[in-house]
Amino acid sequence: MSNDIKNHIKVYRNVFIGLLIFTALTVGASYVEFSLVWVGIFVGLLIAFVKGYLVAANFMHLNNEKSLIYMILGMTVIFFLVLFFMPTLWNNNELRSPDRIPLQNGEVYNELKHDNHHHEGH
Amino acid sequence: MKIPYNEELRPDTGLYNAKLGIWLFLASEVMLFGGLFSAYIMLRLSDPNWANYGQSALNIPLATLNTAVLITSSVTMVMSWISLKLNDLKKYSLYMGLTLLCSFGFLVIKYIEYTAKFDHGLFPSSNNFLAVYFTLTGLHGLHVIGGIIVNGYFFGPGKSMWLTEPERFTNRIEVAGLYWHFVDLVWIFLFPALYLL
Repeated sequence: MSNDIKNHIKVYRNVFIGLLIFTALTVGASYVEFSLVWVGIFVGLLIAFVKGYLVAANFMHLNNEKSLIYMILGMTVIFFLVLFFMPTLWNNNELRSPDRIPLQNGEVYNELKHDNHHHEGH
Repeated sequence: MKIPYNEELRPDTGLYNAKLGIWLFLASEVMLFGGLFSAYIMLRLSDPNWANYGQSALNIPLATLNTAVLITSSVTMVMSWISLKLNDLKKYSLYMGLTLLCSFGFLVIKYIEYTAKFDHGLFPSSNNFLAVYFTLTGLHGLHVIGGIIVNGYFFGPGKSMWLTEPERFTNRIEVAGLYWHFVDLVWIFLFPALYLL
């Protein structure tokens, strides 16, 4: 038992170091100018998921938990995805229509519109 | 009357009851933060002015430091639990104290960040990004305060349970730890989503 716990402590220390390294990595990656915007977002989220996995699996002991908890979390994932994508079920054009967005800086929007008309004129 | 399954495992779930309870609570927390994350993505994708909202003006070095502080507190939290497993109450108090110290440190850094924003006239009502930023970090900050209250109790008066029911107390620390790691987990996603991406 005591040996088992010593192993745990070793794992916690390694996870701690790993989390700090990944934090440095994600900050470093955010300064890199990726030619495609989505690559930067993908890298940032990938590192976040790796860090999240390290915390959940080791600190929260999800790498060795009872099946009931996995079932609860499985249901949570399903409902979470439904919640996450629910807004996309609405008409996207309606959502994107600028006059439905509570703009604080109306002037900027008017300028954009003006620019569009300007280009159309040419 | 003794409450059942505080220490011994319930045969049908294989868990002590508080552990099942905290996981159900954390599942509801996932939905709470998930809804707000979803709102963030929708607002960001549909707002043509997003680039003008000064997301890049956020203080990345301070937030990075805060990330390290919170990660450290998660490690000290799990160490406080394992110290109890090793029957070492002194070490438990040390690690729990460090956890509390880091938690307060996180709030102090957050306070510095917030006041800097307010001094520049940036408020939740200023624009969509700041509304999302203050809502998400504010809600997360409330969770940190909640964790401080619970952990502070176990650091102080709640510790006396160790003398009468050590196993139950150890389980309490595990449950408090699960909550605290969740707060850490949320920040791990908030940090890149708000500051870096």
